[in-house]
Amino acid sequence: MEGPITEVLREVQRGTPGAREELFRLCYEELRRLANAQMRGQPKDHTLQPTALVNEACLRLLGGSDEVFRDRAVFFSVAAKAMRSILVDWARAKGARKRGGTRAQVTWREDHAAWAPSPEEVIAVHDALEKLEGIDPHLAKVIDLRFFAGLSAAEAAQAMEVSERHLFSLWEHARAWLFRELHP
Amino acid sequence: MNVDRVREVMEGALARDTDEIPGFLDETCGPDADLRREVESLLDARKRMGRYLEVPAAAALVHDTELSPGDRIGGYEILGVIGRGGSGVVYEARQKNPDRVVALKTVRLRRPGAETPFLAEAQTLARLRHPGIATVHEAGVHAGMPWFAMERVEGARDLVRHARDLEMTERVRLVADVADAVHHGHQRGVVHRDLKPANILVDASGLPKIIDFGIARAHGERGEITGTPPYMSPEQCGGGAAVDVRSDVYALGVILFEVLSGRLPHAVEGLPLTEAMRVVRERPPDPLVIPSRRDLASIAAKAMRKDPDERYASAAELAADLRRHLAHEPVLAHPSSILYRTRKFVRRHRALTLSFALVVVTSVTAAIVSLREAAATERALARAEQRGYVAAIAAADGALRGGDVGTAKGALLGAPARLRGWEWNLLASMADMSRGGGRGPGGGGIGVLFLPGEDRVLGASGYPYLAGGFVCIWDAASGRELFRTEPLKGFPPMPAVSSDGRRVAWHNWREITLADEKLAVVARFGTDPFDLVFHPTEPLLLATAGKAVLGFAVPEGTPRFRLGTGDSRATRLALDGPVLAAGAEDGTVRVWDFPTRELRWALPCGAPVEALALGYGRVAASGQDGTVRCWSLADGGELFSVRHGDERSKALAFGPGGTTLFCGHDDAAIDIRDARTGKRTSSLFGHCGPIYRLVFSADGRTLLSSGDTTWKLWDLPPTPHEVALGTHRELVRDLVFRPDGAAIACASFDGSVKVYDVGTREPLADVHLIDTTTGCVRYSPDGSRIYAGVADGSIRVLDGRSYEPVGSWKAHGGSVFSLAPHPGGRWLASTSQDTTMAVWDLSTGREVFREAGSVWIWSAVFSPDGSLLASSGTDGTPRVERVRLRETGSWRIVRDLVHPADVITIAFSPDGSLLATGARDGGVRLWDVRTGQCRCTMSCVPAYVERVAFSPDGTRVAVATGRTVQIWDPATGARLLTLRAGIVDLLGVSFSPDGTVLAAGGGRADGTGCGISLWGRTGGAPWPPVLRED
Repeated sequence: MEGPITEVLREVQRGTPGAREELFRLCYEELRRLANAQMRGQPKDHTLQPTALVNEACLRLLGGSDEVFRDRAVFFSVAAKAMRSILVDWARAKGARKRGGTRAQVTWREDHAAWAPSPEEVIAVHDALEKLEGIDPHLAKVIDLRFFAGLSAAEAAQAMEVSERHLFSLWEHARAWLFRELHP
Repeated sequence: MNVDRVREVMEGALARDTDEIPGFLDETCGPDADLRREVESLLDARKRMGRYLEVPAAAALVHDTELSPGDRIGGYEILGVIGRGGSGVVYEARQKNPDRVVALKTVRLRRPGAETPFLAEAQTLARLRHPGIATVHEAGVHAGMPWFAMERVEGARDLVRHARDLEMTERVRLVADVADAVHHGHQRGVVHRDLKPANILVDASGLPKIIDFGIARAHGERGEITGTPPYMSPEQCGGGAAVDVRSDVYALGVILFEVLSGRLPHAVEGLPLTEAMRVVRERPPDPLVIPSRRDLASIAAKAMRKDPDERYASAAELAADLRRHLAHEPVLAHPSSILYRTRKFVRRHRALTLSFALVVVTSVTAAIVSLREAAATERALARAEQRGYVAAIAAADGALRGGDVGTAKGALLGAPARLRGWEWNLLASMADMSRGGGRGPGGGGIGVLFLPGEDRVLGASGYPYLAGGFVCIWDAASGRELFRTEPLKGFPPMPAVSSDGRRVAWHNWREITLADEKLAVVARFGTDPFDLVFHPTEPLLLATAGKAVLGFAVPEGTPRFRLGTGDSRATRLALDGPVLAAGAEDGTVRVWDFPTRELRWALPCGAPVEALALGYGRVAASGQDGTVRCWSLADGGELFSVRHGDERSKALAFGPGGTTLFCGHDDAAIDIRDARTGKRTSSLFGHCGPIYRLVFSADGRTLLSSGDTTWKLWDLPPTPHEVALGTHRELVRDLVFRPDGAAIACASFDGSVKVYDVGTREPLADVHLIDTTTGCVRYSPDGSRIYAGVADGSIRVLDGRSYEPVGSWKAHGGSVFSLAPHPGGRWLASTSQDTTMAVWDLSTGREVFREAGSVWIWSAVFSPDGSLLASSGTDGTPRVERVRLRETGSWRIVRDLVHPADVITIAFSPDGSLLATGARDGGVRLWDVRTGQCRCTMSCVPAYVERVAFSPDGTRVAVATGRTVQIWDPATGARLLTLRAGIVDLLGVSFSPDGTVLAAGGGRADGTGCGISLWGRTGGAPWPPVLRED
């Protein structure tokens, strides 16, 4: 089966101008629809599951073709970006609602350990990531895949077509870069 | 600066130990000072960042109920957020009195109603006082959200990060201190259950402080998984043994390992939870390798033994062994040498004797101190548990009304087993209507089929797209897995099986695999497959592949034919007799005559075809737009087109006989539709996620479905939750089960007594007694007689089996309202519109007692032991409504109970200790029969109470009101469930003698469609229902 965006994916691989934007638009719409469906009717503290969404979007948009395997890397990088865009939109809406529109100070303390990020932190990471994209898009992609799309190390390695060992070093590198940027 | 170069050097540095890095940088960066500065600055940031970004961004969007600075909670003012986690938020807060800054943690409950057990648990936690445990100051509930205030640990870092800067001996000492603190908790009966470095903070002075002691238990439910995989003991990972203090000893062993080596004994990071748990259960931990520290390796190994009996018996023993090591004494954990073992033996026995004496002393003291407190706590816990149960039932009921099976199941499974009653059973049977099933490895059961004989189920299972999967064969009856393939590369979507069962086929989107009945691979062939079907008689495998339907010879896999699907990729495939159908992405369903390969129809589906059903001269298809369409194969005409909201159907199948179409939706429901009109007639609930496949057994009496991660078997036709008996012209006024429970008799306003078989729902008798009204009906205790009271004031007697009239007498001057046979069979009491109650001796037929009141006497009933007769009525002027208790035989008044409203119905509890009275004001009162005290009032307003009935075990009271049947708990006076019946004006209600079925009778006000509704065990399914966690 050939999914509705197989053609677009091919154009992306050929480097056709505008194809990547079109792919992003398709992913964004599908993810947004899925995300709304996932959150609809759920209690308000329900957690969104980005990994499941990205996979479902992959299934729906790409179908089950050979291309899925060939195009996964392209697809996941775009889908992760779309997911990021959705999460940042939500974080903005939420932050604005709660804090009366003003941007809160993001502080980081060591004993935060493995706590979840605040909406402000998500927005701050997004902004810093745009800068990182200008410097080293490869590093930025790891953050998209793991932090925004919620992929595990193994999944992200697969999506980036690198070894897990290499992914670990990219991930540590990227996190350190962002941490330095946001919490100097 | 070259970014590739930075990445390269970073990768090299990250692969090296800290002390090797400067040398490495000298070597690689050489004179490039910028590069070196960049890498060093990144490494410095990495040292500071801890677990930064490890929790994905989506978690940020969870906390809608977050408090803001300035908000007040209890006696605390919120200053700001310290952190957020999966279970709640931690704030910095200021307490007024005493004036101090605390850490205030709010807890997100996993289900409503769990807050009070949490509070009781928090009381215990507040009693833990140890310098190594962060003190819990106070706990409370704020807007349904439990919170507790605890000691704020200043300048804290987590244990592992703190230990990095310490000498080896300092690290050992630190873990020993932690073990002491854990032991303190154990002595007070609290097991931490979630010990991990993140829960052990080290303050500015270097002292460890354990946080969240016992919290895993306080906000979790019993039996729920709590913990963090690498630190969870094998028994917490489902290893069988009970969780006790030695589970914490295990976690301390892992922490020791990590603090000393910087690694974890089980590399489970990134594994799915179930897989991580399996690793912990089954694999030995990695050995701890630290040069010249063999004792420490032995201590860690002993603490992490799979069998709790082989571990240190307490955290104190672990601490002691660590200190022995520090003092260069031989450690207990050392495995080698006879000397070691002998010493170990002697020491352990001494230790055992000593600790036993200690335990006795402590527990006696503790018992004296806490006896009173314990009783109060016990009561608080019981009340809390009860409230939790009521909330769980309400949540399940609400979720089921909304079709949310997953939530309903969660709520029901969370309800304490001890409190579950009839309403739990009813909701559980509604939440999962299936007969049984199984689940696939890897968490996804996608496509399933029966193997011939239908005693086995073939299915494919796996994680879509992310990893491979498996093809499995299960035993249909037990759900046990019989065969499983090696992990497959690529996810296998839909298996197929040949009609003789000897060939099985699946694919991984790239090629088709043909296997034998034990899943051993025979051949691989084809490209780009999507859906597979074996030809029933010829050695052919049909597949949609690319833009065609292809035929392959079995078992060689050589191509035989090709049927094109135009310019569009083919999706689903179906074969029925000589008819072949295939869907395609262009939204066309093509139908061929298979023998001639002639295309008969190309039907427009409107959207890419997601599912296909073929049979009974029809073809049905569902599109990606959520529409299901059905066409006639005779003329290609569309029969109907329906939509199920936005939810797609990934599975379609014509029901047995072709009269129904089963649609499996993405929202987990299986709808049964009329195959002619498309109208939904009923739904099957039980799956919690998208439905992928529906198939029927050859006899059409079983449905096999797969959805979410499970496959299920369903009996057909499905049993409705509310079964309607009879269609009466007039209202059902009264109903009663035959004492053996197999039949139910009702009194009708049309003047008849009607009897139904409860099992078959067939009418057994319809005896016309009078042209006006039959008001009440009762069986004699042995079931041999039916007594009916009619409007002319007479009592009619029918044979209980032949329904022949065997007697009749004029009992009253007005309509008979109620009849009460004495449990010993000696008397029959009757009450009437003529304002009297009479008691009849059934052996002589004579009246033995009559009471004349001033108003209609609605009801009378004997106590279960036959010693008392209760009747409703009024007394004197002004009117005082009361229920009168008389001693049987002497008919002397024992007691009057004043229920200040018109009492319509009376019932004794099965043990005779309680009397329930229901009145026109909508109130039901429960009375203590011995003392005459009103125990509680249950308000059923806005409604009349028409009838009350106890369940045979006395744990529930059913109340029939105008439009509903309500289920109450007489012990607590809590309403548990409200049933809205298909019929209204409910006048009678009764539990079956075995307590499994609830019957209510009534009718519509306009007199049409009157009858009886049954709920509960109305089908052949096990009762109480078995609800499995999916």
